Amino acid sequence: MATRAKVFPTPDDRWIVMKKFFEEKGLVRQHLDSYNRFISKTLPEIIDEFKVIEVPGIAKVVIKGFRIGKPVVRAIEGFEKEVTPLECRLRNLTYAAPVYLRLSIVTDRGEEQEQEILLMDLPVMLKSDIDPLSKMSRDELVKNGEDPKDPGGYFIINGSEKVLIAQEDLASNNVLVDYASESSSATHLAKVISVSRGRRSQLIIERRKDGILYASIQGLRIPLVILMAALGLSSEIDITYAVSLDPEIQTYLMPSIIQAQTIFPKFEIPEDATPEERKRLEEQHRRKTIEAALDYIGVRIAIGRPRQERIERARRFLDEYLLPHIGTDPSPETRLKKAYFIAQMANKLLELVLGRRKPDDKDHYRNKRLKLAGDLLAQLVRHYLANYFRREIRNAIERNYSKYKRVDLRQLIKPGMLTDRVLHAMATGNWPGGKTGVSQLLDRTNLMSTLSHLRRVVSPLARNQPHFEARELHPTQWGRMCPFETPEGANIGLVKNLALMAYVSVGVPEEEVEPMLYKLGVKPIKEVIKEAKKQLQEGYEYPEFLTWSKVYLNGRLIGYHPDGTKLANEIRKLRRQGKISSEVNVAYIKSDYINEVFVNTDAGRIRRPLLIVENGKPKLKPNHVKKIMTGEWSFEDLVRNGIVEYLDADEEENAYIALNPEDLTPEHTHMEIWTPAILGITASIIPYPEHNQSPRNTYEAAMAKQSLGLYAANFQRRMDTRGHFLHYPQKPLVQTRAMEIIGYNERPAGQNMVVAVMSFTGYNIEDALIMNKGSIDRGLARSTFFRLYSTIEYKYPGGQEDRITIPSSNVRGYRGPKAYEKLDEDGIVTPETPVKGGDVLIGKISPPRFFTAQEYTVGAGITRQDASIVTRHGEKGVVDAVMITTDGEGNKLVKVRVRDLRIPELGDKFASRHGQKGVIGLIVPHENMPFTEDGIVPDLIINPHAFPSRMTVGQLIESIAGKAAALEGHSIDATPFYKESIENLQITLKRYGYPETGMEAMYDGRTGEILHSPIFIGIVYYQKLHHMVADKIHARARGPVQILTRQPTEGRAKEGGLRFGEMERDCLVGHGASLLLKEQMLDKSDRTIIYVCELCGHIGWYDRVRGKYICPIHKDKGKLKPVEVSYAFKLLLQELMSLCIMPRLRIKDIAREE
Amino acid sequence: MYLEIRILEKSSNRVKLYLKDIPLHVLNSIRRTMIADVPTMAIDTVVFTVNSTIFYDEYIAHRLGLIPLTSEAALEKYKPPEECREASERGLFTEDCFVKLDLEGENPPSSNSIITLYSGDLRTSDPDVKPVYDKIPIAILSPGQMISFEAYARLGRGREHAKWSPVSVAAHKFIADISIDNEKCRAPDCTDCINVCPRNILIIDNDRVKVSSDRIFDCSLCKVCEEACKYRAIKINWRKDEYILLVETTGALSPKRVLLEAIKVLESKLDSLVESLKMEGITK
Repeated sequence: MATRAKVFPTPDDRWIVMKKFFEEKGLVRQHLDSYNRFISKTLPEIIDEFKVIEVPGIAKVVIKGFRIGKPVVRAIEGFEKEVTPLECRLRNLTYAAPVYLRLSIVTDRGEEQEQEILLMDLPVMLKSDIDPLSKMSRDELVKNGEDPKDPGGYFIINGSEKVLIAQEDLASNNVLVDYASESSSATHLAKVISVSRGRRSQLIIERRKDGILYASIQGLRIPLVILMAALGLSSEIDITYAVSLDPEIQTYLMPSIIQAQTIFPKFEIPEDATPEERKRLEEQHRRKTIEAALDYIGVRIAIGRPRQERIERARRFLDEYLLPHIGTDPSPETRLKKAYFIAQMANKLLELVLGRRKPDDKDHYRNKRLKLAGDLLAQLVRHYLANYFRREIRNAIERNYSKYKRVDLRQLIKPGMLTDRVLHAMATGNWPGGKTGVSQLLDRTNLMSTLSHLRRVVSPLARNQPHFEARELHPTQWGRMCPFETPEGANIGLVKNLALMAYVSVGVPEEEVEPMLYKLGVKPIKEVIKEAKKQLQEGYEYPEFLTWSKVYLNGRLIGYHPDGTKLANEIRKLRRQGKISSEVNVAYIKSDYINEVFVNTDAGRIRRPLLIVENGKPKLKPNHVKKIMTGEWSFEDLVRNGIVEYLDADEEENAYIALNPEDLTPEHTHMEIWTPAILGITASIIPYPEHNQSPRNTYEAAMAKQSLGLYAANFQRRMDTRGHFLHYPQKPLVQTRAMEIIGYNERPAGQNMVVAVMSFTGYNIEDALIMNKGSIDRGLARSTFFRLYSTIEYKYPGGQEDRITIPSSNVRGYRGPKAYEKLDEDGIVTPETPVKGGDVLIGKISPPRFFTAQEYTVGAGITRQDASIVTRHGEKGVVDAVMITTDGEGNKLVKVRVRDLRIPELGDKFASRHGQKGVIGLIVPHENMPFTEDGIVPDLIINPHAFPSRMTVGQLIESIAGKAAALEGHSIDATPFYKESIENLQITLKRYGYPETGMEAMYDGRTGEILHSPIFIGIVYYQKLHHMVADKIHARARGPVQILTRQPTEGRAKEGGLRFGEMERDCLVGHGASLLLKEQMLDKSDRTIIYVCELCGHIGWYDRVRGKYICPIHKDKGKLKPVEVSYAFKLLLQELMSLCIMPRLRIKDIAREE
Repeated sequence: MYLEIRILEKSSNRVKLYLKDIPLHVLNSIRRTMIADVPTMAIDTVVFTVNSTIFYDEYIAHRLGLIPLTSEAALEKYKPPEECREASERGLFTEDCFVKLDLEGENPPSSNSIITLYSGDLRTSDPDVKPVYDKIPIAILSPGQMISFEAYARLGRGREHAKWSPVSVAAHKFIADISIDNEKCRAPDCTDCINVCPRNILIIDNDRVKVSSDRIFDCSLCKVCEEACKYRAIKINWRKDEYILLVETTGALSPKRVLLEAIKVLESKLDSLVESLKMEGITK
């Protein structure tokens, strides 16, 4: 902008940094990183968890290691062959790499030799580290049939591309406090979902109305103090001090302690006890207290068992189910850690009770984590390993051993057992734990819809509940989630998309950070309590630790530090120096009562890069920008050198971030790299979005995903079930900078159209568009539609098999010779044959599904059944490509792609980039179109009423900018916040002799008269949306009916009727148009004649042999009369009969009435 | 009665005429006829024998159709559009209607460059009918790709498809009549109208806003000055029956020929109207 001072870094400098980020990371980095971490870290860990599988007394299997191969396909002949993604897509295969385990078996005879055994085929994420594609150059990718612009980040399962959608979840292992609902017996709650290695357990601490704290876990409610005692905090003072050092909070703990007194043993020390004896008694009392507490729990889980067993069971229960993230090993240290964690929860809860803190904001992004592809896969693999693998192996060992007295490793593991289950979950999207829709078919409408799909985030909250707060835009979404891109309707605000520079942490092990914290002066909690206790005993007034900062590591209180600010700054310094991982974030939160340092290292935090500012000056210097521009430095070098750092939502609370260098003050800690990066992929293509009313940008973000363009450069080598491509896609004249990094300019999805805003014939009211026939003739908005037809020649058990051939006329369901005339002798159509609805594309005959009585008697020649693949009803096209191959099972697989040219016609849908959509209402011949004095004729005429109420000023500016771009011969930058100024554009227009208002005098093509008002005309980028009349047009007079009800079928694909609904019926009833009503509801629908016996009212029938009407009661003596009813009514009568109800129809002849 | 006609601008495919005393409906009829009714040659049917390029048959056919073909001589040589259209629908590519243009191209599999086929590569059966421009790309051949087709061009009218329209621009404009109320005008203190005019029509002369007489044809009647004047001192109108006609052709015909043909077409339409009236016995 002209007014913007040229302070370093200028938008151009910052753009260079921003661009580097994407050049390096691509647009789906979160998924790739997550998957890579799964392969390199999580998978070995998971396998390690199942290291030893033992069947006591027989043998144990020990996993020595594992290895992942290259993506392969296994032919039925048995050999393995390396496979490319393209082959997988075409042949309906899965792009997966084998995972081999090195196993050995230990029996009483000793250890057998190690063997390598195939565990499973693991789906490979495209462009991940184990995918060969990730190492290929552009040319190699092209050679392998891939689109070099394809982002990867998805899987190929049975030939279809699947995305694992990032799942947003409440942060686990973090304590959240809140008020309890009015109706419950509690007043306040503290919750934590503890997750570790696939274990998941929730612990809730609640404060009842009587002030007593309870903990509930696994449906068991235990008084808090008893639980803590069971974990080893045996004395009241220990418990009190673990919870807080603050006397006020300690007071609030009193009711709980008093309540717990009742179960604890009495403690008396004789006055004359020697110190040794005293110590012994204390120790004894300690043990007794713990046991009493454990027994209290044990009574509730092991009802009616002996005391010793109860205690043991309680211990195991606490070790395994209570806070598994702290540890599941049965050691007193772990138990103590758990006790401290519970104490920390109680403290936080009481702080809420005292009004010292507010309830936690569940919608704050510090409390949210994303589960990406790697995490989801880990969950899947771990679940199946735990539930099937271990059991299967044990069973197999036992079976083997009892049969052969020895165990053969090769027979233990069947690779299908895991592979099938994992693939099934990935193919259907049904994850263990009841989550559905986790994996989705990748959207390939255009490149943007693909990218946006890969960056989608869904919240698991139910869509049928309001959840207003969760749907609203939260301030912490700034730079993390796109503020515009969300669907309308039920999912609004629950389905989100990552902002451009948002980046998800993959996690650093706590163990790397914890010792460092102690070294920086954090006093471990245990020591703090010990010292505080000692101080108290020695008679200090208040423990000095009260003023210290609490230090949390991933939500767990680990200790105290005298100065939180100092600690946070030191951690930041270390991070900027590269001495600790850049994934570590720290936040120092201080208020009147709260004084806490949070250190986070876990995975799934959404972070965003920012320029570090010190003393009001960014640490980015011109020479850094130069280094980046020349390629000497990468983006990560900026991070390594402490110029850029990633902040999570927690640490951002500590930051003061400037938008632009002009705004910098000494208080600022950071500066945005690129402010427009708060938007997501689709919102980034909107020019001038800051001039639009906000929902319009939301609409456009949804519509951009429906626009036709070039969805993949290899579209001719792909066999998508449906696909569209635009014939002459154009780069938008009015650009945003983000288009460059998204790749929109290489795979555009729209055309620059000359748009006039006027009513003209009026055929553009209510958002319709008027289009110029001349433009359409010249190829405007033409597209090609593809549809895939495919079939497999199956082999059935019992030697039966399908055959792809031209069916002979004796097969059942023969369609007549005309239907098959386009087939070649191999039973498949020839390429470039025009086909229409009903034409057979692949002739196929199948063995009959049911044998009729006739075939049983005739014996030998059983009739086969026609199973041909037919062009869809109502569609036409030209056979584009035919592919014959085999699928994974070795069956013949035939795919036929039919293409259809789509020239814009009345009713086709178009939209600008400002949420302005409309359908063509009229196509006007060139000579009738209005024109300017230069002879410019608009391609499109939109109605002026589209603007006032919608306030899409952005489109008006785009129109002027588009005109200026066309005059100047270069594109114009319309990036939000950093765009070229509108005044400059107007000056450009004026320089070329056009009014700066964008309005020109125009002449009516029909009369030649000047239009009295100048017309606003300019160039706007329009998108053709994939809702086309050709796919929807439908009418029916007569046609197929449903078998059961004999009513007309429903839907275009089934050549169905149009429903005459209840409101339409009401209308005829209201008008008293009874005959018309009868015609609509009966004659045009399921009219039938039934024969009803006048005597008994039962339905009879016609006996063709005897030529008589028969009544079920009176036989041929019945008086049967034909009655016209709806077939559905006949069905009802029969259904009632089946329920042992006897419906009778009392009929009378109207003519005989008088 | 004669019209006053002046040629303002002229080049091989563009002409700008000043016309006086011509009624608007006549001028507009001529303009519309030029767009929709003056016949030219354009490829209408393409028969592909081989096409292994990435472009589909219908895509290439559409591109071929839009290539302007020289039609000056063809107008006399070939049968009128209406007759040829029927022949084309029946698949009869007779010589009195159709010009055959064929193209064969191959990029051998062994090559490692791409070949672009241009309009100039089309072989025509009639040297009078050939692409106006030689450098219009038709298709690109990668190594191993081949194309071979026969294309049939015939006369047609822009009404049927824009490819037969001989003109890319056919527009007329009104000539401004600007009146300035010197009573209301505050010049030279206010020069808003002068500043805002994109065509520099208004000038200041002797402290008065005046219309520059040699630039008046340039006025686009955008009325920006009307809007800009706070004192409502300026009023834009237009002269009656004085127009400027701008014609730019695709190159298939010269602008002169297009104009004359348009008049001829209009004439024959009127003639046939007169004929019909006579036939119906309405006139003698």
